[in-house]
Amino acid sequence: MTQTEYDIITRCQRGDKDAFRWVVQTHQRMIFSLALKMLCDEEEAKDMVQETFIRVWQRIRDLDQQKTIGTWIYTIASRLCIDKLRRTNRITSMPEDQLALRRFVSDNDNQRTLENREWVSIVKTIVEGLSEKQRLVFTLIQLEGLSSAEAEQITGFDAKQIKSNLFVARQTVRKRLKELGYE
Amino acid sequence: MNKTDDILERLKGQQPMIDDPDALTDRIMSSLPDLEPSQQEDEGKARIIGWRWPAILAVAASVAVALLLVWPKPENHTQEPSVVAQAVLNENPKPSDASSEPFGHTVQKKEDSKEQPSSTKGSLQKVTETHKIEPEPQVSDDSKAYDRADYLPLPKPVNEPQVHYASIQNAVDTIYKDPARMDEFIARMADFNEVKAVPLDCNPGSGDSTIISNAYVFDDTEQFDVFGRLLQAACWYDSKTPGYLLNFSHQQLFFTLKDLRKGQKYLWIAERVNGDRILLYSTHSPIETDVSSSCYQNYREQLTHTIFNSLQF
Repeated sequence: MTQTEYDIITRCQRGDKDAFRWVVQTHQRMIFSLALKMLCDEEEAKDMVQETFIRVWQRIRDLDQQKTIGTWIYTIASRLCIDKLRRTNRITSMPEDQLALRRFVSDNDNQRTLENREWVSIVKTIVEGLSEKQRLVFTLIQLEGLSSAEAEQITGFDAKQIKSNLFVARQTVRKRLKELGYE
Repeated sequence: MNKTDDILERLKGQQPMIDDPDALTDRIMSSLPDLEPSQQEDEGKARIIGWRWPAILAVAASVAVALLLVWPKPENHTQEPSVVAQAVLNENPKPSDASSEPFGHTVQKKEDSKEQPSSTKGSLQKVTETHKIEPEPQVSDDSKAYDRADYLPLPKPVNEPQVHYASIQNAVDTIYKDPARMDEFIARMADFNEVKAVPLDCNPGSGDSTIISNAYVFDDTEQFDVFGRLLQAACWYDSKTPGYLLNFSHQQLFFTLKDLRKGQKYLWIAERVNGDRILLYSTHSPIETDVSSSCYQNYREQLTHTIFNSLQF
């Protein structure tokens, strides 16, 4: 934790909402990104961001200041996403979702920014068939670009579990893409 | 690389956008419950109880020492309260050695302020200031909060005490938060990093010397964390401060304040440019004055389209 984070968290722990606004503004995008890719629904993702930060606020005094605040927020958001996925029906892709993936693949512009609805369609298409845990590990490492060590801290899985979940997830995604005609 | 890997690799570098991040922030902030006051009070009480016994023991020990000291000299009895107060001051353990304390400058200043004439009032003040070290159950204003934060154990040392915003002491009034302290803090950061202030003339030809504008170009390093420090300094101000407006993202910080006492308005814009620099623009002027931002825009353009080494900093 940096000195800045430490001071901000200390203020939050005293109930300072202005300091907490800084925490929200700094981390809401990464949590939205995770939630959108996990839940595949923009409004649900926003609700999840809100719920995550309410939990963070309520438990801010429990934060171990040796850990980074980002990792801790990710942990809370991940658990909420997993709970949500377990309660809802399995996400399945529709033919129009597969079209979004096709457009993305055929687009030669590597710098093009995907719109949120495109993200939803593409993720829905490629992660179909993954378990919640595989999906979480795949999202954190493959889509969010976090390291295995960070994923371990966030999920609480050990290195072996991370490795095996990621391996199975990648194999399943490759198989899925192959079925859709991508070699 | 086959197509599957290519797809995954392309997805890795992207992050979805929140269409209206400020609205989402406001929504989150408005839905936050108040932290339970009883919990806060309980924690405060627990801390007081935790600190009270050592404090009582320290006072008792110092009284005993004082009695021993004054015993052979009964004529000094009239000075006892002052001696006791001084003994309490000496006995009470300092948070840490000033040289290793991250906020050593702050602590030093406080000690300096304690060097007052040893009148009865002075002695009482010494005792009061000594008790400041103890945690308080409730904090009524930010300045008090930071007084206490100065004494909290820190996870790692900071080597630049002069450029921590908490090192700026408001000697005049602890309630009024002078916006000029932000500039003072920026000047310290600039001085520490050997960054020169570049004066900008935002109203050329007008001859208006009341508009003061400066630009700074800092290295954007994780070690010094200019952006974080600015945010932290901005967060020090109460959101009810006149003219308070704080907006920031990873890329830019925009902060305004008004000083109704001095009739001044302040604006700070910090922006990450070229990936490795932070351009900081600071301006203040009388509240009723219109200030053009064109000078800042021009300077920014110059920075982003020019090799840094060719600029006069």
